[in-house]
Parts: sequence; C-alpha cells; structure tokens
Amino acid sequence: MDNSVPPPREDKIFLYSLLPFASVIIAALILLGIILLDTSLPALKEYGIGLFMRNVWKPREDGPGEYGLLAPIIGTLETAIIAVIIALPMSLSLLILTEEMMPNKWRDLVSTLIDVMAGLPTILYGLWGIEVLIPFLRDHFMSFLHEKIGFIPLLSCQPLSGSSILAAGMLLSIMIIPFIYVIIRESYSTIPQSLVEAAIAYSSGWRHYVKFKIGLIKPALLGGLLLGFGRAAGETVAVALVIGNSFHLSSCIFAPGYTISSLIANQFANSMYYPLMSSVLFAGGLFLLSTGLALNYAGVKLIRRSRKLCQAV
Amino acid sequence: MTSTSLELERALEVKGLNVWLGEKQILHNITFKVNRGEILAIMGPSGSGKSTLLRAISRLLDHRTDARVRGEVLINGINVYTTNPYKARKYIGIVFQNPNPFPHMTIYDNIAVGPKLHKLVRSKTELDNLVRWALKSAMLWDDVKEKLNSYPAELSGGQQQRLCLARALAMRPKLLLLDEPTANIDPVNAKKIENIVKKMSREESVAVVIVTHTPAQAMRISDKVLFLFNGKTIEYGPTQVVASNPDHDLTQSFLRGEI
Amino acid sequence: MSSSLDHKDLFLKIIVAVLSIVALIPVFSIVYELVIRGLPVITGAGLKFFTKTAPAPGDRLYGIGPALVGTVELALISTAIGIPIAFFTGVLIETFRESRISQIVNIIAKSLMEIPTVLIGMLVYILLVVPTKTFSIISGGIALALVMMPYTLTYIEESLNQVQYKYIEAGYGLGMNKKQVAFKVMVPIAKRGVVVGILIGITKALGETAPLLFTIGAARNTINWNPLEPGDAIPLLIFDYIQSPYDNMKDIAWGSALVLFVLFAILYSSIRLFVKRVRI
Repeated sequence: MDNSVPPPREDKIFLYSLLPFASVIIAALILLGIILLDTSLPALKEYGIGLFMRNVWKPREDGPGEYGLLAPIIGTLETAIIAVIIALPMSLSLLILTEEMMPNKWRDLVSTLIDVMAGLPTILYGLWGIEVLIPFLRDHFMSFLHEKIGFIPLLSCQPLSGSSILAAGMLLSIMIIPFIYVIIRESYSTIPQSLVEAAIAYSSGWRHYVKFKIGLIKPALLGGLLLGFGRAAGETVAVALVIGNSFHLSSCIFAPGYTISSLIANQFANSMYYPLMSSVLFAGGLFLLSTGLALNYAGVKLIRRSRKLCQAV
Repeated sequence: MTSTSLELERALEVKGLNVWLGEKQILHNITFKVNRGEILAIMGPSGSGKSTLLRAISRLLDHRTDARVRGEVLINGINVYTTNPYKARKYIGIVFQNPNPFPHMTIYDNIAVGPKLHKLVRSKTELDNLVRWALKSAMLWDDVKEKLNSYPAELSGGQQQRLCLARALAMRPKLLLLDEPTANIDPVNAKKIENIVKKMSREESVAVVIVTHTPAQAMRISDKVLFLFNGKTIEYGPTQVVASNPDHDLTQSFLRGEI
Repeated sequence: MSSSLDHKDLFLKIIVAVLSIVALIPVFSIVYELVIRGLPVITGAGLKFFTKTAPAPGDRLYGIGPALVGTVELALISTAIGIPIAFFTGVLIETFRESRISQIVNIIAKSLMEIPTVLIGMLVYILLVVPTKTFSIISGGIALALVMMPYTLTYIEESLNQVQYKYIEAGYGLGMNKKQVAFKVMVPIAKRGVVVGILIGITKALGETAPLLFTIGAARNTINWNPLEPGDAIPLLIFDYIQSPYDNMKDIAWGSALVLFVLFAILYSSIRLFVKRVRI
C-alpha cells in the first residue's frame, strides 16, 4: 500500500489563507479577458472581421459610423519590427562587450547603466523622443536618406514633421535594447563552465569562441526577440508622442502612422461621444492582449529551451 | 510485561520500507528496530540510500514531489505515515550532513526556536535553562556562553555542527537521526560529536540512528549496524557480531575499506 | 594563429564597440537634456514649482503641486494594495511549489507582466470609473497596483527560491509546518530580496503613465488630498504638457521630468544599497 497521505490540516489552512491574494491576480487576467471580449462584441458584430482588415475611421455621433483598424495594426507591426531589427544587434553587441571584452570593473559600470535604461520611466523616453530624437531625425537623418536613396519605396516619401513610423520604431528600439539584453545575458551566464572550456579548447581564436557561445543561446535570442517585440507592440505613451497619429496608410516609414496602443491612448477619452468607437478601441485592446499573451508564451518557451539545451549538453 | 511497555522500549521500528525517487527505486524492503538507549549505525558506500532512509523515517521526503514511500515507520508505536508529520517530528531530533544553523537567528534563538515552536517551556527561565542544557550537552556552552546573541556565522564549521546538534537536543527528542554528522568537519569536533551521541544515548535513553560511510565510526559508537548496499539490507545485527563475523562478502570488503 | 584571423577579431571587436556606444548614447542624452532643460525651469520657479497649481496656457511658469501630491498618493495606494497581494502570492508560489495552484498562479503572474499597461487602464476604467461615475486617484492607484504586482511578486518569489534547501529542511526537521518554514525561515533569510521586490514595484508604478490615462482624470487646478476625487500625476502631466503648443507648458514638462528622474534615481540607488543587480 502506498503512503499517499493527504497534506496536513495546518498546511491546507495556510494554503487557503493565501489563496485570496493569489486569486486577485488570477481574477485580474480573467476579468481583463472577459471585459475586453464583452465590450468589443458590439463592434465585432457590426463590422465582423472587416474591423481588422479595413482602413477607415469615420466616427459619427448619431450612428454607428465606420471603423477599421488596419492602419494601426500595420503600424503596430511595423514599429515593432523596426524596433527589434535595430535592438537585436545592439543588445547582442552590448552582451559581447560586457561579457567578453571588458574587465569586471567596467563591466559592472556598463551593466548598471543598462539596468538604469531598463527601468527609466517610459514617459521620459517619450519626452526625449518628441523633443530631441524627432528634430534630430528630421533635420539630419531622414532628409539625408530620402535624398540619397529615396528610390527605395520604404524611404520614398518626403519627410515632413519627423513624427513617423520610423521615429516610433527607433524610440522603441532604444527602449527594448536593455530589455532584450537582460534576457539574453541571463541565458548567456547560464552556459555551464564545461561548455565554456570546450569553446575555448575547440575554437581557433576569439571570434570563433564568441560565435560558438552565442550559438548556444540561439533559442534565447529568438525568445528575447519575441518578448522584445511584445514589449514594443504594447508600449503606449512614448509611441503616442512620436508616431504622428495618422490613419494614413503608407508604405513609407517617414510617414506618420498609428499603433493600436497609441490609438487607444489618443481616442479613448473622446470615444464616449460616439456610439461604437469605444467598442472598436476595446477590440483593438483584445488584439493587443491576444498577441501579447501569444508572444509571451512563445518567448518564455524558447528561453526555457535555451536553458535546457545548455544543461543537457 | 504489557505490550505497551514493549512498544515504549521500541523507539523506532521500520517495516518493509520501499522508497522511489522518480522512477528509480532507492530503498528495497528495509526492516529494523531501535530500542531506547540504543545506537544503530547505518553504513554503506555513498549512493546506497542511507540519507534517503533517514528522510523517509522523518517524512522529510514529503517535500519532494517525485518521492514515493511504501511500508511502515513506527515511532513510539505510532505509524508516522498515518499521523501528522509535524507532530511526529516533535519527538525526533535531526542533524544533517552539512551544518545548517539558521543564519538569520542568534545562537540563542537557534536553540530556542524548536522548544518555543512546540511549547516545551512555560517561562523564559525554563527556556534559558533548556538552552544552557542543550549547549552544555553539545559541549558548546564554554565556546559560546559569552556570545549567545551573536550569529552562527561567527562559529567554525565544527562548532556550527554542534550548534545543530544542540538545536536538535533542545527538543528533548526520543529519537535522534544523524546523517553523517561528522563527514564535513575536523577530527576533533567529530570526536566530540561521537562522545555526545554516546552520552545522550546512555544517560537520556535516546534512541539513535546514525548514518556513516566510515566503518570505523560505526564500530566505535554503535550497538547495532545495518549495512546498506544499493538500497538493500546486506547485513543487520549487533555490531560485535557483524564486525567479527560478517555473513556476507560485501560486508567484509566494506569493512576492509575496499568499497 | 594567423594574423588574418586576428584582423577579423579586431574588426568584430570594433563593430561591437561602436554599436554598443551607439546603443548607450540615448541614455546619456536623456540625462543631459533633463538637466539642461529641466533644471533652469525648477530653479527659476523656486519652491513654487512644487506647490502651485497649473498655469493658464501661455501664462508664466509653475506648478506641479497637484501632480506631486497625486504621485505621492498613487505610490501609497498602489503600495498598500499591491505589495501584500504580491508578497503573499509569492509565498504561495514558493511554499506550495509542487501544487497545481502554485504553477497556475505563477504562469498567470508572469504573463500579467507582459500585458500592455494601457489595457490595465481600460480594465480599471470599466470596473471602477464607469460604475462610480468619476475619475479618482484611488482608481489610478488600483491600476498601478495591478501593474506593480507581477514585478514585485516575481522578484520576491525568485529570492525565496534562492534560499538554500538545507535551511528549509532544517526548519521541517524541527517540526515546523509550511507556514512556519515560510515566515520563520524563508522570508527572514530572503528579506533583502523582499525589500528589493517592494522597491522595484514602487519604482515601476511611479513611472507608469498609460494606466493613468483613463483613471485619475488629470485634475490639475486644485491640490487634492482626497483619493476618491480626480487628481493628477507627474508622468501624466508630462504627457499632456509636452503636447501643448505653449512654451511654458513644455518647460513645466521638462521640469517635471527632472523631478520624476530624481525620484527614480533615489529609488534606484536605494535598491542598489541592497543588491548589485537591479532589474526593473
């Protein structure tokens, strides 16, 4: 007979006394899902799947009006893609710099600086973005690129105010560099000593050694990229300040645009005056929540696999 | 003699104990008894399941999700696996292989925490006396009487281990479980611990189970030995008999230090 | 080793160094601009900068009094609500590690961390602002509590997890039950981590803007200590003022941003007193 005794009474009581606290957290997520679904239902009923496929924004006070979230959805993806494309090589460089090129004292200094970057209130990035980054991009970067290589469709439009998809993407990249860095450094530092020694023994020179070690954390790189993408897609106020807030759908990244979260930030307060607008915005929120959760799930899984991979060898 | 007093004699009785960790069976059908005032040494090479056996007796395996236990463990005649483990542990003192005094508690509090937990004392004076008694029993009083309010980090490894022994003794246990208590400390402290254990067994009639990987230690202090190999009992009997006339070749080679 | 290989090594090192420097430039630029643009605003206005209410557009400078008061209130409310929940949930996850509930709570808490905070604002708007028919500091505080919880929880849970098993086993060996092991052994040994978790939560909540957009009401004409009424917060004020066409408003935004940065720096350095690595 197996000894499968039930947990002692005092432990059960302890668990039950802790559960109310934990249930707040569970309830928050469930309620968020339910409320987003419930409030976006009217818009989904009215516009169907077209809500996510069409680009139109014609609010009416006396009727349903016409709405389609295509432009902000594309803007969200575009800015997040630009952000990770820039942030990944940057954070990888910082990783190699701090872990393989610096003496401990310097390394701690740079690491601290990156930790500060990661924690800085996002509104400070937004403020800097609108007041410093945008004038710089407009005056020194965009027009230069447009004049020299404007034949590329992505760079084909005349840069006007500086507020643009590109500016949002770049600001987001700056914001997620420390985030991705911390994730990949964690995996990098869990590479077991035995593998590090193998890397030293088998690689001909520093470059191969670094490549070998980076190769070991490939799943974590991808995971960090996905989580970084999720962060970028969800960022609200900093983007709202620099993206230009326009429904104009353009193939050019110098043009202003919208993201789902900046749209919510900008329109939510007005949406009470228009019958279906708030429902449309909640549908956008639902889109954000589901993509966010999916990205998080995939990212965390990849990072775990990276750890396991290292431990298995 | 009534059956109750017989059971009281028998501080610990293990019957047909099997333990699995994950898929692997660690212990096979272990059976033995320890009376009050008796010292049983469990010896065997490392990996033979000695520590797991001690944890199974004290139900510390409950806190491992992958552990499965079958069989009976009776302490003072009560099956610990059908009673509340926390109450059962009141009668057991456990000392682990690595010294583990609580780093956030003073030396005094390390000893006092057990008695306070189980309300063994009714007043501060009683507690003071119990702490002094435990530290004296562990031959640590003279080392620490001036610094009862400092933290265990100030003590040497050997002293820390004796502090852990004192912490266990302060519960006035009927049964003392020692998991290679001298494996990681210096010979002088090891010798002291052996003497303390012998004294507790003789003077306080405590039943002792001591796990050891050195046959010499088993021979020095135990009344009975159980030789464990790959989770199976190879030999079990009075120390003198096993030492002079082991039944099994494996026991002989272990005693000669070959495995 | 051939010299061509060394050249390639050097080339890679240069690329790494250049990219790293480029990546770090913004943080220096941010701090530089904050001081250059923010400090004159504050020194020019003096103490009134912190005590006065909002100016008329295009009027003279001053005042972030309501926002400062609101930020303090928000920090207190979100801490009072968020920390106990995060702490006890962290204890649950760690002490009942083997149970289903613990695993579910852990996964949900971690995913809550990756949810855009603007959605938390929408949630609280529907749950509190709509039924009570008013924006309020307390709604904002609850939204911020939801934002800080997963961070504090994760940090506390990780530091409890780092308590060596030998001490936990010693606790059980003395006959402690799970509650006693948690509060007499694990939490006291991990107390630095617990404090850091709390500070990280506060730091996180302090800098958030999006959850406040639809919850506190941006009321900046009177200084309001009543948490049941609308109020303001420094990040929200920055967000609104920097979009204003008036120069005095923009200046106030920069001054407020410096105040926010100083608050952040104080919290950050106090965390550094406890631990070397700070992840926020």
